[in-house]
Amino acid sequence: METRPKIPFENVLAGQVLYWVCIIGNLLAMIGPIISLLFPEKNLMDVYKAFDLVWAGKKPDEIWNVLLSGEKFPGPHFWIYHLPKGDAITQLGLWLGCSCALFSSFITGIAFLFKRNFLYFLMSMWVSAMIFFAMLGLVQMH
Amino acid sequence: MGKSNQTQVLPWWQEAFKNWYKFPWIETFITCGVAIFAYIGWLFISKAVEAPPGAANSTFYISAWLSGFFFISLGIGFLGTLCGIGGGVLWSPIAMAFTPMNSVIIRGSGLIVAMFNGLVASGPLMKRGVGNVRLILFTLVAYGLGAFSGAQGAIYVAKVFGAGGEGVIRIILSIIVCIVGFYFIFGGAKLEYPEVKEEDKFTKFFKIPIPYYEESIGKVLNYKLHRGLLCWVVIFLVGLIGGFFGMGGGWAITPALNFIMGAPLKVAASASMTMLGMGDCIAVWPYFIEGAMIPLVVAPLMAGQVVGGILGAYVLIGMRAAFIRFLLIGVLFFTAFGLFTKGADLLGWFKTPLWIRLGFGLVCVGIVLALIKRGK
Repeated sequence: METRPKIPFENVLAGQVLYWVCIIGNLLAMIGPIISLLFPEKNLMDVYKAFDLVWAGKKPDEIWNVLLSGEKFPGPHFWIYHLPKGDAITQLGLWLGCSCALFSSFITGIAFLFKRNFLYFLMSMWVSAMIFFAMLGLVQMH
Repeated sequence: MGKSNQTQVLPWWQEAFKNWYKFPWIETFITCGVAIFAYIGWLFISKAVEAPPGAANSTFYISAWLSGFFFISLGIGFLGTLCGIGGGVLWSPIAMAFTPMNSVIIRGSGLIVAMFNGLVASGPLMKRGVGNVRLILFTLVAYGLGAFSGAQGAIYVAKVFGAGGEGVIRIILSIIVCIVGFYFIFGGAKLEYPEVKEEDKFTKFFKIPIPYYEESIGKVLNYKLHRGLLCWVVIFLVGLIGGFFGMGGGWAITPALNFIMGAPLKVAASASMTMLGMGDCIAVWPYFIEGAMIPLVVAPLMAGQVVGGILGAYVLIGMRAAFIRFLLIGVLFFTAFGLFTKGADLLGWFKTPLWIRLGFGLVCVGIVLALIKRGK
């Protein structure tokens, strides 16, 4: 009988942070649209028009212009000011999901630091910095 | 999953039902339960929910689109997890071909479809050591540098090479991908668990390998890796090309890790999808900032990927490595065909009708099924 090898803590930690942030973000992103449809008046945008505009092939700025009745897109972090509206909850779910690698690489980096593994600490911090700057609009990869 | 050779080993789904109140099954059941409520239950309830006066559509109409997007994404996420690729390679061509959606929205939603299956699957995979955080970071540094340089140089390169240059590069890539596909057919089982006799100094310095218990063969795999520097260069180039043309690198990372570094196929597939998911966390933000992520449209795509990724991860852990190789062969040929036809289109040679692309997709499915049958 072979004994199962012990998996390093930072390996489990990295996966668990990614996993849990994704799960929480996903639950919010699943509930958000239902809240939007149940309470249509409590939304930032007109959710009933979203799909029609997307299917009409409109550009993002044109879509937001109609959804927000002539206003400009308020930026990806708009959920901060509009919770607990349905679309803000959905956006928070997406925001969390799309930043899960930041949380994971940063926390894993700290775990590597505690283990005095400076090489992987630096690598983790580099990844964290790239994601953080991308969230601020300073880094583009596509 | 099985606990030891002395206890009865149950299939993952039986163990899930037996231990539903324990981690990780409880959150799996909650996620699947909420998904069933949100995309099946709500669809029926929405028939009774009236839209506000003056609304452009009925609540049922919107809910039906939400459910449709979820189920498409679920299928892509499940398959993508088994192959170690992002679903963008399937979603983007389908969305471009079948829908009138704006290309920026398709590319943004394509990233969502490409990233979440890998990210969520990393939880169970890393806990068992199939996912390796050191290999992921090692790869991500090279890929990120390449993709970042590529994106910065994209405007310059577009001016110098133009559409013709992109076409030539796509055709060259299609040939390379096709060769890799054939190698995966004829390379056989030695590619599933490659044998590396000696690690080189550069690769050894990074101390990447993590031994893990391989469920499908009931053995501990204590693997070695080599040629890390060469793999870094190749992955940097993959990132660079992806950054130039916004193509993503799902087709190349698994073969590079398996083929060049000698990583077991399952470890390579797992590292590839997590690495791409983390890389896409960087790539996705410009689309967010531009407003290309319409929350109501993108949310069901994300949900499908997460649920598909969780289910796919548990299937992947117990799956035979040969099966992953067969799936990868199909994906590689489909990608090669897509790269070639797009390249030919950009060079003005010919345009490929949709039915031919779909037909070729079916041929790839046929190849995979034939290989599975032969493999048995």
